[in-house]
Amino acid sequence: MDPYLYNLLIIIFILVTVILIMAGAIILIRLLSARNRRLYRQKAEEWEDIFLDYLHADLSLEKACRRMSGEKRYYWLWHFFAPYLEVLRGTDFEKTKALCRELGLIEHYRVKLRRGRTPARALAARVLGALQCRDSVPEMLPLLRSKNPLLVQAAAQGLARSGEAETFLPAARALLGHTFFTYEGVTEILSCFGKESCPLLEEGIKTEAKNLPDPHQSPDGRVPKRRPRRGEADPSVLVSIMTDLLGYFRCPGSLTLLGHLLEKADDEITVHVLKAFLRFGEVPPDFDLKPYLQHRYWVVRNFSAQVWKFTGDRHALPLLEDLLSDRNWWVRFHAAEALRSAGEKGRNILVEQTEGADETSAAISSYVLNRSEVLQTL
Amino acid sequence: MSTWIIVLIFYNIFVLFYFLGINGFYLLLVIISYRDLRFLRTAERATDRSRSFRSEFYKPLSIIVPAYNEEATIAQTAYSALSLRYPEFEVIIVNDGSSDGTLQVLQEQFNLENSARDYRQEIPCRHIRGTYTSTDYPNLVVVDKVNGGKSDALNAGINVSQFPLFCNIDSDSLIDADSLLKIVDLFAKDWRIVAAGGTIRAANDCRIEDGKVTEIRLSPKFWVRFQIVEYLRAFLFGRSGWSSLGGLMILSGAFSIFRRRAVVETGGYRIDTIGEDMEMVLRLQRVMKKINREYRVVFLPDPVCWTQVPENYDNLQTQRRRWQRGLAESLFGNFEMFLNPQYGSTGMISYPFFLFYELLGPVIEITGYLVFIVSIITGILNPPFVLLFLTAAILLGILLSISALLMEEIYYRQYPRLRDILTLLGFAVLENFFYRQLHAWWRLKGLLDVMFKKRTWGTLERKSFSAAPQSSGKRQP
Repeated sequence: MDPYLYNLLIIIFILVTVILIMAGAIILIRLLSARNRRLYRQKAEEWEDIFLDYLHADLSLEKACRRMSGEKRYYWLWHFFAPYLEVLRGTDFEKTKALCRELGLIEHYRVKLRRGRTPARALAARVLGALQCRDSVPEMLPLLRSKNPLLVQAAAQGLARSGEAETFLPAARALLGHTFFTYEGVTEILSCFGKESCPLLEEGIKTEAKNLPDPHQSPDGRVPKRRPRRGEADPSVLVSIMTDLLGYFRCPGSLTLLGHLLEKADDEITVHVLKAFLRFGEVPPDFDLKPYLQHRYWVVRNFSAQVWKFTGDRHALPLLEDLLSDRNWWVRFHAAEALRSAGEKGRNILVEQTEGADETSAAISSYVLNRSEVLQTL
Repeated sequence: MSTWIIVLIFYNIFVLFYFLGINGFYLLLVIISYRDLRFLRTAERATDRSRSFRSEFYKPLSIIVPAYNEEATIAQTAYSALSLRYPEFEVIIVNDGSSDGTLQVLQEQFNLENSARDYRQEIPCRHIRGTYTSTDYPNLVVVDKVNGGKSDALNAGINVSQFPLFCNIDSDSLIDADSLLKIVDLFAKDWRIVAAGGTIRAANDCRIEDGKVTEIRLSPKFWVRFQIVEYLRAFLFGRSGWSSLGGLMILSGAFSIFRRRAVVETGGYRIDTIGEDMEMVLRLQRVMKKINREYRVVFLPDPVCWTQVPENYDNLQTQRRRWQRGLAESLFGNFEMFLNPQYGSTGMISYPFFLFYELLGPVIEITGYLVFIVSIITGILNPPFVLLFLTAAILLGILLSISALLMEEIYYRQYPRLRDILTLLGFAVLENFFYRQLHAWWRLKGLLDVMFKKRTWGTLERKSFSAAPQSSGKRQP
């Protein structure tokens, strides 16, 4: 036989075999997954009864553990407990954690965290974080120095959920320095640290503020941006994030600190401080909003217009009126909203503007007045 | 030996190497994407999504839906977009000068009123006649503009949009409820990402309620089934593989998300091309490179967008010819990327691959069949060899399609019944016997359209998600 034909026949034979194996694998996977789903459903139903009896104190920890033990598929156990861990608080949460510990779930994932492969370690960090396993914090901290962003993220989330506030700054620095996370992404993860991190946030702002360049040194007040080296967190970004979180948690007593921070703040930090005031719903005593209503950066003007309602400063009304013809729609909108909320005087300004020569001011004034009427009728 | 015989011999050798090259590369993509999908699944398990998007620290998003003569589907598309699970978003429907009742349907369904929304024309687009907001849905904005084609409608939508990210979806498409969360999560995790896309699946004959796919069913229609296998192949190992290699050149126009600022920097969508989705992705990469900014274009297979795929021969042919024209325009319009090491994998691997295998593939494939026949007649090739070679080629094609089905089965398992997956297995075999050849023929016709500068979108039958075919639309480029 021609060797070419012979080789082709061998190739065809191999291809047919591979195709048949793959087709068989597809069918097998489908059947196995259906079986596994059925088995898990049965197990979950069984476990649910035992678990609820245990939570209602009808069953002791030992008995519940004995009836649930024997399951070595820890991922199934995690899958079962995960939704409960999201919603349970206080004693119920602690009881669930005790049961997970007794079932060997915590130990299994602690071993995975130390010795597993990357995906297993990341999952372990998630599980131990959800179980608020503080004794695994020393094992999670080294993951923050990993070169793999997935591990850094999982460790930061795990630490945040385990409620170990002391690890806030290392987690923040790792996320900013070792991953490509955006500002929002980092803040989102750090927000999981919860209100307990307030004292650390204040302390962190005080410390990091010392590393900030002085905006008054540059002629236009803009601080030149320097891209941080890999592994390094930009102090300005770190301060902005902590400022955002102070506002998000409404940390008591931190308004004065934020007021002082404004003195050293660049444009970005100023925006975040004003956002924090918005979240607090108040401003520090003796805070003068007027310079910010005339700020060169539209985002600052925008937030200042929103913050105005907490100051109620009547002297600032002419500045708000000027902002009705601002280049930016959002600034105009929020200035008009501020005037609308300023009582009779502010409303009169808006009505006057609707009949004025400036089309931009007239349009936004009519829009806000009409909108308020629509809202009132709803 | 005559010159013709020598030419035939060389062409046969060329076809053989071409065949080995394309299939070898596809097999490589299968392996790469298999690894990538496995990583994505483990990463998804380790990601605490319950904590995502709970705080206020997310990126708000604008969803832009260009609509031209879409009265049959527009209301459902709008409801689907408005019901998405995402903390803060706006839906911008751009009525691109429809001649049917698209705007009226929107006015009746959503109680529209004139909007005071201001916008800057950051990128050129044709005249916007008016913007409307809904009294029922505060995050719905309808833009009514003079007809200018899909790209122009998208540009108008971008001008009116106010959020840092925008997502464009086709008006005959529905997005899975969690898709936006999954895809925007990518943008939160990597500041370098300028564009990202998800998988497109066929919605034909699926159960759709309130603008959501509530039951996934395999369409009984012949042409749709072929396309399902084709889409699985294209997305699960095609785009996944290219994304892993860092050489993604196309994101589906039916569902992709972009960083608004980056798109504005490119000058928006080009209105003189019909392959605006691919052209944008390529130009985005060129501009980012020129302004020396780090960037990434990524594909995530899990976020799913459901779309109506053509159900008959004529519509499918029209669509594929248009795609081929779009491919040609996008490649020639960004030719500086070809074998340019500055563009990394895109310039050195993807671009040449798309040029030689995707664009010129149909020419080589069809002439290859003809040359085989001539070679048998002239005795250059013996019939058993040709027969066995074609059998091997067909088996390789089947292997690639079944690989995609295997990935689907391991990672996503969207079709709930075993019968569905067995049917798709059958179609993965069947498509190699005439669908692929037909597809090559349509693509060849698309290339001829480019040569003869044919520029229309062609007539496409639009169908309501739950009703019989209704209107037909002809989009002007």
